Amino acid sequence: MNRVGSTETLAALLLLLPLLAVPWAFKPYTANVLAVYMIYGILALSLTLIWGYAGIMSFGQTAFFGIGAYAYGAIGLNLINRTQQTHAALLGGLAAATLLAAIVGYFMFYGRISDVYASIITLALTLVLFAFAVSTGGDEWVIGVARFGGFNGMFGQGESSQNIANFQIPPVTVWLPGMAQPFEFKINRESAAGYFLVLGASVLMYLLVRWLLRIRLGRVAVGIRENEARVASLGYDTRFYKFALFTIAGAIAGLAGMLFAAWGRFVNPDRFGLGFASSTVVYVLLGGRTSLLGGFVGAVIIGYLTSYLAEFVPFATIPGDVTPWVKFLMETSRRVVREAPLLVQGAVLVGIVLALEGGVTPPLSRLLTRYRRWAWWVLLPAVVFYFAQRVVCLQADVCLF
Amino acid sequence: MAEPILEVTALTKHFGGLRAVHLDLTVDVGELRCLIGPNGAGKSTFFRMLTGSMRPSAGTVRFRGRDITGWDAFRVARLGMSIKFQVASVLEELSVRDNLHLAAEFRFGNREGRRRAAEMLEVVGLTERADHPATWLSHGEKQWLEIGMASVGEPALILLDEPTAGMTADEMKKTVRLLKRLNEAATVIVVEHDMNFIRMIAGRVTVMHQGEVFAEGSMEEIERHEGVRDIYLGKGSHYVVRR
Repeated sequence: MNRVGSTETLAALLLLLPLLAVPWAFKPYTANVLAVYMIYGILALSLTLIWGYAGIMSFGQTAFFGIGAYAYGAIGLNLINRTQQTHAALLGGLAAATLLAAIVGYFMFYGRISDVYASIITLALTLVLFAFAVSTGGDEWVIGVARFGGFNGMFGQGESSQNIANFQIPPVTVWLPGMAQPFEFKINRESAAGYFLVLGASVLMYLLVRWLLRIRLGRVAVGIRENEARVASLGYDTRFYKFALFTIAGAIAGLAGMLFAAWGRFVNPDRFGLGFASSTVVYVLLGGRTSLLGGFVGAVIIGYLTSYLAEFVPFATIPGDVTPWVKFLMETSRRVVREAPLLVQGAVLVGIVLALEGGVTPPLSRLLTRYRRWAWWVLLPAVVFYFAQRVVCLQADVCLF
Repeated sequence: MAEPILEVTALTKHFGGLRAVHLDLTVDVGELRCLIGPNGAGKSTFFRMLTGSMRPSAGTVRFRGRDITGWDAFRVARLGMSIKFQVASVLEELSVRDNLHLAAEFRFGNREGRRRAAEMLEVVGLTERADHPATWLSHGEKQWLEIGMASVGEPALILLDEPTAGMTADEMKKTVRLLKRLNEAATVIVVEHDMNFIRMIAGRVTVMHQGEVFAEGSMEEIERHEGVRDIYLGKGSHYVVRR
């Protein structure tokens, strides 16, 4: 067994075994939350490809995510009641995101715009789409039964907006010939199919990008990041390679967007917003720009940090016998954390990025490589044991927490 | 006599009001041409116009019988012209082998490219460092790597912009051997400052001054040339002529 292969197998087992066990080991809430983190992870993966490897900073990767989500929603809402499946919506969402990325990419790269401006152009794109999506509140913004809904987000309506029979964007629904009834990928008490769909898509996209980086396209991409003039003077038409990569990254972001709309059964203009756009950059930075798992790791860390900080109250009770200035410090820190979880989150982020320039994933994988033997014989069994006992106790309903 | 491989006619570059380059130059197939001249003579600008990374203001460049004036860099490269830039431009994060592989892959495809890259590793003497990232290489080694990248695709014409800058005497001798070897298969144009290097190469020398061709001939002729001595060799500049 060679070194790298063995570590990779180990990492895959350490990640996939727990992830596969989650629906049985935890309540549906966990699977639901993990699913959306993985969706953000796929979006971050697309940014990793275009930014981390090709060196083109696309600040507005969310534009393609949002377009994918809206297109999936609009087509899905219209077709679900007629055809009972979302095949066309999936294709349409992917096509919309890919097409938008191809058009923008074509003008950016063949228009000889310097890559420095790519970040500004893509950011402007997502903000323009945000402004547009916000302004679709009126009755004229209805496609079939899909109402864009401006700030409120997209939903389906009956005969008119006054109709009570409003309904949500459908989950991914498959109805192939030979199936007795359509199959919905949902996440609830009965089913974790939606979770496995997202997990499967994550693994697939990870493998796709990994493969892309191994073929000529990926090698030239890294070359472009390192020195574009050098690569061009070797005979490679760098514009084409950048265009192709940007389009592929847009398609991957679009796929994440569709999964998002199907997961939450909802999409609103926030998916185009500045906050979400910068979060995506943060996931990548935190996880590691040149690590394909980085985006996923970053999304999970930020996701849990955000929800944990929202619940976390330091010094909820202040003892009466402390000196006034200690009391003051305690109160201040409680306020800061309570009132501004984003502030704390930002500070943690700055700290991590400053301390670990390449993000958290590369050091983790170095640790794993160094202590490979320990990981095989101690960590992996421990993880398996923990999840096994979780599964058993959850089925017997005796879990303590 | 065969058609010259490179024919430059009244090639001009203006930067605002400054005329940086204005020259005619002909290079025959198989030549090893040295291009010298003081700083600011327009040598690098000239190279950039040849390879398509800078558009000329006027004039034409004919390469292998085709007018390539204003072509994109990658098209010029595909026609068989390659360059080693003045500042060593290797792909720092890639391994030495991958640098050469990427350069060879374009012409020869993945598998053959890998074989050619391994061969070129031998030629430039970097076999032992094949799997190190290029950023670990010394300055001289980077120069060799880039020379290797410029020649692994079997170009017809190789432009080398200061291939020995910052090299020790031993490294320079090695570079001379390397150049002569490359010259067996390709026409080579070298921009250099180091007179010892030019003497060792012993090719035809073109002197540039203020963007124009000032003189042309063998190294002996150039060294005897009064004007050249004035502008370049003698005048207490930092280019010391060691005898």
